[in-house]
Amino acid sequence: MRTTSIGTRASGTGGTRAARSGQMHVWIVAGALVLGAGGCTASHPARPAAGEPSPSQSSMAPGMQMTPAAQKATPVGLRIGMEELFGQDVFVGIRVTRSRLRGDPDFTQAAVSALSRNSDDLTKLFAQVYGGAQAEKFRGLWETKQQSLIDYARAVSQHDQAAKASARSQLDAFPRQIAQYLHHLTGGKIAAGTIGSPLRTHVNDLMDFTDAYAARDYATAYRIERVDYERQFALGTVIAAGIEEDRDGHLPASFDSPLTRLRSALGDLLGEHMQLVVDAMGAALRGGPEFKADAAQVNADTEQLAGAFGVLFGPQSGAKFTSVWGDHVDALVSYSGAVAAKDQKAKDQALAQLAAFERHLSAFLSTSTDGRLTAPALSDVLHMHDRDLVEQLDAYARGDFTTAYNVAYEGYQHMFAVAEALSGAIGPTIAARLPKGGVQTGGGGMAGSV
Amino acid sequence: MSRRAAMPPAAVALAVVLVSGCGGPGHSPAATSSPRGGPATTAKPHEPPGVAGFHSVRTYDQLALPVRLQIPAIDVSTSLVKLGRLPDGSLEVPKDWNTAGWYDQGPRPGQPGPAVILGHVDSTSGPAVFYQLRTLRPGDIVRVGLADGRTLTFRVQRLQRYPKDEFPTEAVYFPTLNRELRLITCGGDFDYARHSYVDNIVVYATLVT
Repeated sequence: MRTTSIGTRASGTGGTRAARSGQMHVWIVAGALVLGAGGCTASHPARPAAGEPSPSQSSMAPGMQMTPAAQKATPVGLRIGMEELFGQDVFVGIRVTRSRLRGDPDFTQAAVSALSRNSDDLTKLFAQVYGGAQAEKFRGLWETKQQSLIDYARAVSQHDQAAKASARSQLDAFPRQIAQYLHHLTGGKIAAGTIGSPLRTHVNDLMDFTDAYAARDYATAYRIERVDYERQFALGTVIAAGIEEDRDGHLPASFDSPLTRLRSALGDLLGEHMQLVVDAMGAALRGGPEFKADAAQVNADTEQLAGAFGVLFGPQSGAKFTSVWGDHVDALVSYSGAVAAKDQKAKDQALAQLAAFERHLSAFLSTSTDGRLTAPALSDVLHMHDRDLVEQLDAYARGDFTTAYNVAYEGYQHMFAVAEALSGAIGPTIAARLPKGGVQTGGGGMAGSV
Repeated sequence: MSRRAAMPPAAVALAVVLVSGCGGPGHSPAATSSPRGGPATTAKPHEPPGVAGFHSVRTYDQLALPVRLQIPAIDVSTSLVKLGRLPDGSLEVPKDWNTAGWYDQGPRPGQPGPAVILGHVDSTSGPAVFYQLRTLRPGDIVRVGLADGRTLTFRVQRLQRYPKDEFPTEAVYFPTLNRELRLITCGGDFDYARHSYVDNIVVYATLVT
């Protein structure tokens, strides 16, 4: 087994935009920290191969690049990109709605920019497969949904029943339109009926969220948000599968391999963590009444992550993970409170807690993966995550919403690189521990009729 | 992905529409989070509601142990025993022909990942607990009773037959984090020289509730 460490360390919390640009390099390099048969190197990230190795052969080679746009060549990249972006659409869309309901014009403008960026990224993903003209049709339809949702939020905030009914009518029409588009786009591989149902649920979720938030029923609103994220993430899988299916309905083996599924599941939970914590930190900063409801969903995500690590490495590891991850979440909330209170000492304490978390979790994960992930490299990766969260909050606090949204946007995408690195190391670790071969479950008494 | 230096035109247009439509007594996050007007030395630290009392969760639901299996479509109702691994790395099998077993070093049913339940297809003289397993069809229901009285419901997705010497270990056992169930027994021809069926049958099911 070969070990690799990251040569480029990230700058400290609150780095400049240039430093964040450098972070991209570090992230690509971070892919090389995972050891395996792929032989990736830091300076030359491997181009994803057509197939994906089994977990026991895992390396960072498949889809090492962090952006959806760079993952176009592989079925796995398309799947992960679709999941990531359709999931992200939920959070960035709801942030527009929420800010509209609260009446934050500056904040809304930055939120709309993030929503549009998500549409751009989705459009690029479709363009890579079907070309720009077809992709622009997607953008047109997709932005119709977004505009209708914004119209709905405006109508709700202004108690304008006629406008609300009009927006609802537009949203009700959207699932059929986009389902038909996808049906035609894929030559019928995505059945309009199959895709229309989850899309109807999606727009209903969005309207239900808006209604609940406007009624200050935050527990319901945030529960809906999280469920909708899970649904849309899964919708990304379905759409990618429809695109990747051959004429006989078969998918490439890599598309749904055990390793791909692990990577997808970790991305789902880690991406959700990022989004929920961003919102919880913002609510904590504002003193927003929704903090408690949002924090409850952060806890739910943490429980699911802990359950995952408990299954992967055993119940004791699950408990250890929960404890360390809990320190991480607590420190981030404390930091938000400290910023709100302008308490420098408390901020410093929270940052020290985050640094301790980075050390503890990196040691835990390195040990759990039999050294396939090196602790220093992991610590860098975790520090980048913490820095994203701290930086977006700092920007938010000083009213620089564009930066806050950009950092949060890219921080979400980073979580999928983390998921890739983790799954790439966990895969071979776990594969080595699996039972061997088939089972002897027959005595032969009914031989000939079995 | 490079960060954009400027807001894209579409966003600008949309934002203009939005902002122009704003009304009401809204507040900006900056104004709320950065209250002005009081000297810092006299302002009391502001602690947002709920933040001070927040503590991240430190436990998670591991689910109770599985104790019973029911498959109505093939009239299976059996208790479950715990199974480990044999020295050769393969799974231990139930000692009782008519009792199924759960592999206790893998996920519990309902946890993320594939929980594995084994049962014999036959004994040395007649049918055993999983004799009809091969007749299950997609959509059939499988219920697993837990020690705390809860019952989990799974739905069959597909059934696969594999030669034992080509058993897809990772496809069957790898913890993908999807909440699934594997039901495994023997099938195919019986090799009298080796006293073993040549195939395994694996039923893949996913958690419904």
